[in-house]
Amino acid sequence: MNRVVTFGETRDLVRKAIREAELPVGLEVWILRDLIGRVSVLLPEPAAEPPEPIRRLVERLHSTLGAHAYPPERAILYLEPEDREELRSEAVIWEEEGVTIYFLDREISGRRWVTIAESELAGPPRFVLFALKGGLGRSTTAAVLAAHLARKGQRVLVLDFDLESPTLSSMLSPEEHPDFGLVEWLVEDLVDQAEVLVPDMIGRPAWSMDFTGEVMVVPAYGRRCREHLAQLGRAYLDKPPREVGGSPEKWVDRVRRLVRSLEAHASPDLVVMDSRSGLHDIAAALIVGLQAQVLLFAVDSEPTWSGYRILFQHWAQNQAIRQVRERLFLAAALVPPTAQEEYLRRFQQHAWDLFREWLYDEVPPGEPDGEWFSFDLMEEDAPHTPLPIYWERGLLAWPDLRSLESGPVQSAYSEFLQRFERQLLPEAGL
Amino acid sequence: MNWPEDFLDAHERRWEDAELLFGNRRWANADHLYGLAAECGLKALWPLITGRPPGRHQRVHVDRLWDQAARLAQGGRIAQLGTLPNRNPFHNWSVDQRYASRQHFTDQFVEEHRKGAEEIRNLVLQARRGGMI
Repeated sequence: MNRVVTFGETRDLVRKAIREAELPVGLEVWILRDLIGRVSVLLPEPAAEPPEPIRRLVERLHSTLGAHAYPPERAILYLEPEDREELRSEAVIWEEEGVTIYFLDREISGRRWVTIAESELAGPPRFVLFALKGGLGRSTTAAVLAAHLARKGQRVLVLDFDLESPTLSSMLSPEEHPDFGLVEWLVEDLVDQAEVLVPDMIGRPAWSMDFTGEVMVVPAYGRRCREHLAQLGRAYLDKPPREVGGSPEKWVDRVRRLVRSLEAHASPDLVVMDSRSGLHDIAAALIVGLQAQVLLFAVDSEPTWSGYRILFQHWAQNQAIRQVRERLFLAAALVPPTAQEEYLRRFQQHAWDLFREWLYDEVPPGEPDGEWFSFDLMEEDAPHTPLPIYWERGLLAWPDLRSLESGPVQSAYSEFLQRFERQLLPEAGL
Repeated sequence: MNWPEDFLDAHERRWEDAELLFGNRRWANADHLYGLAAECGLKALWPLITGRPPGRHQRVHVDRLWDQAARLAQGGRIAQLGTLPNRNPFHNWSVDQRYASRQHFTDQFVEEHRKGAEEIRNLVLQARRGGMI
């Protein structure tokens, strides 16, 4: 087979082409990688002929990018200067030998993994539980956490965002399910009547009634749902503009509105959200689209670390690492019953290797550590030091959340819960 | 007199009239209207294609606008509609050809533009069926 240039090489080859084209220092170059993965150069109208340096660049791109380049005569996309200016906020910017590159990427998922939510001044703390694959005990953990904190007097709002395979919703018995769930909100929002559903979206489990606090569960879908799959087929839609010429509302913005609306109605002390597993749009919306702290579930295995490496590398390439890294924590899921210390030591080493490579600052020699986002291998309460959840046979079935002080929940979760309170919820003073 | 823009209606009336002319072998004016029909259709669909409100591109005609739409396209809505062909069928169309003699407009020349306009027509119909515009 002839050697072809593949998509994954295009970003680096664009940099190489820019270096080799020897462009004048101080030039701004706009590069667009479109939906099919072909690269264009953006120039403002009106330009009778592209300037000589840009022509050199276009030739270089054509000779290095293979099928990912346009023929030189079609490689330039002309835009009104104001239109190009409006794209500036979507670009990733970097310098290459004195040339500033504005790199625009087009994706059908709307670049949701790199649009990081700004911090919000008001509102309760939010926690997202995320895993790269199912079966690590994410939903059970959310349920245990909610029950534990509610017993300590907190009003906990629990959202089951695992819309395709909702498990956390089973904190409620069928009779306790509210009329509507998250999917109904997302669908009714398309016809502007989501808000009337909000009072009928919260269920309270009977087992939590004598807790000092409160457990408020919003399931993926409600009791009155008759067409879950037909609703799912619509739930992820960006909201079309109401009037001709308006802008559609991005899905992530709809989710933010949904969460805020439930918070305004329920006034919780904190919110626990179970994300869908895998690198899915739901996970992106919850992890980066909301201002939330994120518990990344992991087991000590190569697929886990490679999976998180893909995500961290994507953030690094798109200059999003700094905005997101302080929200990330690790949970060691299913810690095996034998050789636990050894297992956790290896886990922590692998986590540290990964976090050091992508998330942590490299502290220059002689500098004090304090100013930098950097942690030692064995540092307590560091982001890479996992909150452990021990494997328990008794947790293969949905646990009894009334008795947290004994039995399998206690042995699996006591250390996790202590660390959670200390590290992720210090202001609550529990 | 300035009436407000209605890209959807402007798209539809150009398409309908272009088809009438094409059916009567009036190639030159059919060609002009196919270009305008495609342009107005793209402008009606612009927020769905690019995820951005309509901007200054409104001054641009279809020979340029097609490439802008095909390459700036992003987001789930365009994936639901079906993406635009990357090859611009209007690359040899110009609004200034309205001053040219009819002898230049052959049926093959117009046919390619008709297909291009039909692509846009189908996207518009699909968006309307889906309640997106």
